[in-house]
Amino acid sequence: MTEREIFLAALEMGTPEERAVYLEEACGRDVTFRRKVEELLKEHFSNDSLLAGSALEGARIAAESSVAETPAQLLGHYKLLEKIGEGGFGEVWMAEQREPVRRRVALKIIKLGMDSRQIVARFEAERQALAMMDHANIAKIFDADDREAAPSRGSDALRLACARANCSCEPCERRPRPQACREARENACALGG
Amino acid sequence: MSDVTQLLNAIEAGEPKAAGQLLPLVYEELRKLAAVRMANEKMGQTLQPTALVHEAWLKIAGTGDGSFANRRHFFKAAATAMQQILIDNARRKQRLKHGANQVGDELHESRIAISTPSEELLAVNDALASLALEDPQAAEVVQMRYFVGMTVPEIAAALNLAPRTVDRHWAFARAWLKRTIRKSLSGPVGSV
Repeated sequence: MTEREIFLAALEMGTPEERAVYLEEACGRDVTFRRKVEELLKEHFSNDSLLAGSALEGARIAAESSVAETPAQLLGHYKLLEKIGEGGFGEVWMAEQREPVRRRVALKIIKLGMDSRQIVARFEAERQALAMMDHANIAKIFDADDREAAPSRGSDALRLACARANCSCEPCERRPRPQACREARENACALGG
Repeated sequence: MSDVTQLLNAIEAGEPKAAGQLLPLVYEELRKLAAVRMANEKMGQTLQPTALVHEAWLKIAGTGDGSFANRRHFFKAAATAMQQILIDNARRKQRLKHGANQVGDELHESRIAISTPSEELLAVNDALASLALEDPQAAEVVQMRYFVGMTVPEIAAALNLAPRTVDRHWAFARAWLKRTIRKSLSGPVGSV
């Protein structure tokens, strides 16, 4: 008999004792063979998650607004989804933040070459203005440290983050709160508080 | 879809190259169906690949060419296509983990966010190749159950088997794969 046949027959047995008796008979003296079948049975009865069901349980396919062939782009922890604005400073994109938490953000990407101090000042003003607003669709702006930030509304919240491509984060190092530049090594620096 | 039907008939007739030609067509069909679904669904909704595969099959069966033989070939191709998508995705994730952060293009397959770790997917994929040599039908069942998420009754219908038989295939294949994976993890050259 093959190990498959013995394995399946052993599963028909009601109790572990009956199973052991059956294995004794079926495997005979072949200790190695018996051990192999016992391993199969052990794996069958173990309750771990490996191959418990479909790999897709909990699968989620993130939709993109443009379903066509446009490839998505990664910028540090952010996955750019759709451009939603443009100006002299650069561009604003809807993006999906991946780490440390998954959520939608609005990402402002600043053109290279702009004066960093000016940018910081402008963002600071913007942040303060937003902080004063109390609108259903605008989340409260918290500290720039992502771990502490908690959007007031689940996935609908927008958080103003600033990502300057290839920035060296000079302005952030001079800021009193170093955590503002937690993501500096990922070429994106989240300002905002 | 008539291309697919022609190929299915060709596979059944035993033409050697037909299966290889079928796979990209089925893959493309699944992708298009997924795109249509995504356009109509809210962001982040769960997409059930098994529903996609069935939908694709209905399009063919609707033309009256839904013979049992064709159905089996189709579902096998669809399961293989899903397997490829998931494995490509897992390999990409592994590269990102071990290599530098890449700013660049991501293929559409990477939109699939699965909670199953990529290491597990890759390990199962490798072990499954070995199982297919020993027990091809059990390996087919795993493909459909694990990579597409088809239920036992659905697999039974697709492969024209009794559900009890599918249960047995799955029980054996599962145990066999787990034993193989554990051995490769604890072995001296445990490259998974």
